[in-house]
Amino acid sequence: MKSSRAKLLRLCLRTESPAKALFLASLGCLLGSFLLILSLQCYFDSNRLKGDNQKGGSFVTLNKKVKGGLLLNLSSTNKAFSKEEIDQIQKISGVQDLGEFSRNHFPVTVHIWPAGRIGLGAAARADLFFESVPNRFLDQIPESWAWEQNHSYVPIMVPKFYLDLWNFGLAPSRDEYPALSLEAATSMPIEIFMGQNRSKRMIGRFVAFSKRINSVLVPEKFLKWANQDFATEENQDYFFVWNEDEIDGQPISFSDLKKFPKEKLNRTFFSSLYEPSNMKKFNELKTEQLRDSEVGRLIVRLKDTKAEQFFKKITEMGYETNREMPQNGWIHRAAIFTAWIGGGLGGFLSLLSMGTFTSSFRLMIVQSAESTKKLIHLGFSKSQISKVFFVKFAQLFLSIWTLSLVFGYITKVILEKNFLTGLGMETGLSWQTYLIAIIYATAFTSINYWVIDRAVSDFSEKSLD
Amino acid sequence: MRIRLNQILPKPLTNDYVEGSSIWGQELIFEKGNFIEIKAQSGQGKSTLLHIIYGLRFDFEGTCEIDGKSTATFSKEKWREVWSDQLSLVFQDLRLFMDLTARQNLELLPAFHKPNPDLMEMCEQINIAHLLDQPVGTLSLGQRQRFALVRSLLKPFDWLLLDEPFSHLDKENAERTAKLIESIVRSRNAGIIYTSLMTHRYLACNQSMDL
Repeated sequence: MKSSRAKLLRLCLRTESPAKALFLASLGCLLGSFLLILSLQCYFDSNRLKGDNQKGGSFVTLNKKVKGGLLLNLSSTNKAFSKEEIDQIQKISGVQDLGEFSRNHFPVTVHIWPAGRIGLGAAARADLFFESVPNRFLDQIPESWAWEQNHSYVPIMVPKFYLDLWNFGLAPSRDEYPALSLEAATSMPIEIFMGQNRSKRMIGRFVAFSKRINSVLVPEKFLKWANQDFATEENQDYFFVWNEDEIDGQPISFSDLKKFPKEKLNRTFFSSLYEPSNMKKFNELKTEQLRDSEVGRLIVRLKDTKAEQFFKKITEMGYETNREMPQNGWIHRAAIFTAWIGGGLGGFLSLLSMGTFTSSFRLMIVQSAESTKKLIHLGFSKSQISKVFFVKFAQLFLSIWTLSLVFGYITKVILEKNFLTGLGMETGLSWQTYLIAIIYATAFTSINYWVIDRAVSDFSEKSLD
Repeated sequence: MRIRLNQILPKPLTNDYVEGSSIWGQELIFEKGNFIEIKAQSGQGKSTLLHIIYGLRFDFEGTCEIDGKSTATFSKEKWREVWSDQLSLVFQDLRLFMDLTARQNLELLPAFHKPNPDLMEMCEQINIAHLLDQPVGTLSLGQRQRFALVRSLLKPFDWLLLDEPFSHLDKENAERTAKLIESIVRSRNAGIIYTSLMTHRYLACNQSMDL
């Protein structure tokens, strides 16, 4: 009897809905809710990406300026950071964390097979380098990043723009190289030849595309292992050899120095090309050589608010910086601004639609005044009557709300697949967006319930006059 | 349920009506279980009296009390309880829902008294069972009046208020309907206050008053 009574109540309170007004309200509500949902998602994504990528700061890579001509560049000493220099940098206000780049000390050649199988089609061949940084400085750490000595392939991370260069630079100019999607790029086999005479062959794969670090990165563990096994001494420094108080002949490479008899090494002094007068014993050279060959670049996590001071100080110290995503802050601010604009517009449209909904339902209640009066006099409560109108509103609103969530989800997925690839964003809408959408729906329906209840109250009171 | 009318004078009402009235300006007590007939010609306030008791009009002097409490002090919620469970009124204009069928009109009540006889038997007794599934708008006034009476009998009540309940019925149907009303009201030990135009009396009464 209860459900039948509800149906009968609906029947006798059936009025002609203001179709045009309700259509406009529904459209406004759909658009407003959709914009709100998308803006919220934009806001959360932007904040999350900022958090993930920067963890509260910007990342900057540092290196020394490369100066001089051919002779000076025979040495790499001036390009490396000493321990004291690193300590000094670490003390600069705003530096939150500092990591050292390690590089390979052996020749690396790679053959990239874009067709997906070794031996199939043409391979892109290149002499390459590898670097590694501590994992905490990476903007993404895929599961396959972990490397152990028994692993079948070497995970490699390259900057996202390398893929863009391939797709928009190399591939269009060479028939044998196809354009690559992100998925295709990660499934390409890469032959890695290491050591003198390409003594070691391994297989590698791109496992991620970094937006932060402009380098060819491999796991620290792999690089350490490879350096131990395949390191050569080609990229080493040259030194003057002192014979009593005079420099004796041409500079000699570090590896040639090591060939000196032990007795001669212990009694001879050496000096670098940059500080010829600063004579050192071989053991001191050895320590510096080891350090300097390891740390050519640094990566620094910087507090956003102290960035300007940091860059000023770094320039004074004569270092170069490479802010791999210098627009990070700007992009974040632009995304937040867009979110606020979209959210504001969505909120405005939602408010307008709410106003139209309430006036439409008030009109329907006015049109049902006679029936309402009869029902009240039969003993129906005003809440039983307002429930009829509210259910009608709720059905309409919840359909619109669900539709706007579906549209929001689809739009987000389309954006991810086409414009926001490689950012490591979660698929679809985040739980925060769903939560706020539920709060929004609750507020919207509560306000309309209140308005409907008030309107029915007005008429039920009039029926008592 | 006890109804007390104390010096009730509707506004505006001329002295001509008040003088000689056995209701206006008098003190009357209606005890549950009684059948009260109010007789008057048209325009003398029969509907007004029922509307005052039913709580639809408050433009009067004096007090109307239900179970010792002035109805002027009743809250909206109290009135809803009274309308739902204690008083049942058949309006002169019937107040049925014209777009609904007769059956739907009978089923549209906030509360039901377990009907004895049941709905179908009631309708059969007064010759309207075959009209149950017709929209009320297509029925004659007499048929509508009988459905409005059945609806009032389906509600729980202590007092049944009838405003010229047989005005559109022929003698035979009026007698059948009166018989049904009387049997149901007596079985519930309830009371009736009904108004008529001083013509034929179809319902037996304990008390008959001229307005």
